[in-house]
Amino acid sequence: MPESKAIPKMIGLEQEYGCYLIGSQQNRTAGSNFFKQFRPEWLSVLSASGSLWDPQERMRYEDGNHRFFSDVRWRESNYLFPNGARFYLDSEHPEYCIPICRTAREALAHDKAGEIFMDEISQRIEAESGLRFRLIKNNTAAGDRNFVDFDSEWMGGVSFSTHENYLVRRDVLIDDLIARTIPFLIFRTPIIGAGKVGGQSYLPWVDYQISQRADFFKKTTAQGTMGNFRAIYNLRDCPYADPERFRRLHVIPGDANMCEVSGFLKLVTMRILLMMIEDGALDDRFTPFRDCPTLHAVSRDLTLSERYLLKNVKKSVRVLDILKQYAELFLKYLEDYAIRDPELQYGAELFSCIVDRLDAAPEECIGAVDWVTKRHIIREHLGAKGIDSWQRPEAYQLDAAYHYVRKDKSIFYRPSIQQKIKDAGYKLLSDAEVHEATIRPPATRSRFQVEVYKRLHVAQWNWRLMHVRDTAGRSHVLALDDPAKPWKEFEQLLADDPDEFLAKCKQAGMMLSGAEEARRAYLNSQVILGDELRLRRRMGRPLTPLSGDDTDDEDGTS
Amino acid sequence: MMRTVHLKPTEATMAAQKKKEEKKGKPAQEVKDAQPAADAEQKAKEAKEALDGLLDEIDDVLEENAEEFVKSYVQRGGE
Repeated sequence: MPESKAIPKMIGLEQEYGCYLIGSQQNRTAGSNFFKQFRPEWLSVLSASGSLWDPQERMRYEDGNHRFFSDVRWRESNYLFPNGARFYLDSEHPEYCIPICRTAREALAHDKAGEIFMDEISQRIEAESGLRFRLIKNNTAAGDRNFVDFDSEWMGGVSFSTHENYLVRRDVLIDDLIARTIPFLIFRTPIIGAGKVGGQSYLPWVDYQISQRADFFKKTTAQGTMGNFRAIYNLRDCPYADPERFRRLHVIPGDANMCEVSGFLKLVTMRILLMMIEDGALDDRFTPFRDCPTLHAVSRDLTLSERYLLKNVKKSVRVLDILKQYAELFLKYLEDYAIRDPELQYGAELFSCIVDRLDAAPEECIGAVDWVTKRHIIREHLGAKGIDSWQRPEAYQLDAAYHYVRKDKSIFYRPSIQQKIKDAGYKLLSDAEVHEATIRPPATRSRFQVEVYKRLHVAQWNWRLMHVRDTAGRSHVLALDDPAKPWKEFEQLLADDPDEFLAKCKQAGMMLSGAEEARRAYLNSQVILGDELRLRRRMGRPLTPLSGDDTDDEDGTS
Repeated sequence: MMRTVHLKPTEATMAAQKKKEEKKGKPAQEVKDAQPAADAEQKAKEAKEALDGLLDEIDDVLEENAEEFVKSYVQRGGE
């Protein structure tokens, strides 16, 4: 029996929210308007747990300590939440990134926690100023021609992201990683698609398609995530960890999910797939003849009956038959490698079940799969209104309103839909579990960051680096190089006294020695911030030291 | 620990499963929790009623005219 060499996948999920201010014609900037009105003091109220997080003491608005960077330009736009999540502004979109999670279920709960934060922040703003912001957890909207997208057809003109991140072994050959993930990223579309009315103008018109993101992809690989030639596979190599051991796979194509089943399957199947790749247990049978055209075609294959030419097996196969084969391979892999992770086993079985259901009777996936659910709602609504075309504002409005995070306004959260989800067994998370995710970080590096913050106040960090001052006021940089390190090991390092804490970390080999190394690490981490244009601008001028004037450059104390 | 959620087999998925097993040459297993036809009819009726509720619920929560919405919900692209 082969032994698995796969490492824990350590999941991250970033969600940019569409933002709409009712009554305003300036919704390009509604996201930043929303973000700027957020006050971190509200977190104690929002999380309803004063004891766990004391905003008066730890998160005073004016001292700036709770933010990630000492860089002034970031000070206004980056918050750490008590559950270890980050909340920031990206290209005018409020973005919520979950803390690092160990399982798909944990990540799903934190993704839902993000919805709750956005919901409650918008309610709070509404109560204080009367402004009615609607946060929309989707990936597409009407938009102007700008540097991001050429096409600007009504809805569907611009795209914003849901990105998944997974920890992968560095020693997996990048070519293998690309070649084995791309077919799945293309063919998983019917499982994770959020549904979209219309499409991009450079492709043939459709009333409705499965994926919100598919039309925006025009090439196979690239380093960036935006621009006119978005790529299915993102090459940006920023591990937020020891680069010699880890790679962070940054998955670009994928939709925001409201349905828990889709959201869960999106993450759990990638867990298994990447483990298989690390173990060399996946061959190239699923490679499509062409990448992007296949992705576009799958997204437009509403009857799921088209056949796709697979390059290496020289056969044309339906997308559901491909997914059935994946399901079988997943289950076989777990058995062959004796992987006894209940989530993975359950995930593979649920995946297989949903694929079968999509094949036998797709309408039974209402409440499980977003594009099926949304299609049903829009079709019924248009029918009831006597509207016979999908190219109507009513269809676009429902398309977006389906994704409202406000439970009292969202089409997805209407009681009859929720009842249906419960009755069909498609409700995976309990309310208590999601609430827990709003107040408690998962037992990973994220909890360590929050706990250090609570004890020492002055830490500044990104995902990998942590900046702590000793009692003499000297700066030290810690590198949290192993995202998969068990919580027990992190926990042992915690101390209320900064000197004791630093000594423990030094002993554990986590201190970066010397300011030059810190500077380089900081520069590397900048890439991960995501906004390449900002980075490029930044590169054009001298680098600011890690924390302005308080980095000890010369005396080698760090 | 994962809380296992067992999805209820439905008529269509059961039929598909049966077909699959027949194809493999295995005898079709009897599905234990198959529901009587009357029950299924009742289910269909309930689903229809739930749907009627949904349409009213949608009308209740939509906050503005669809054309107004489409005109003003314009975003900038993101990553």
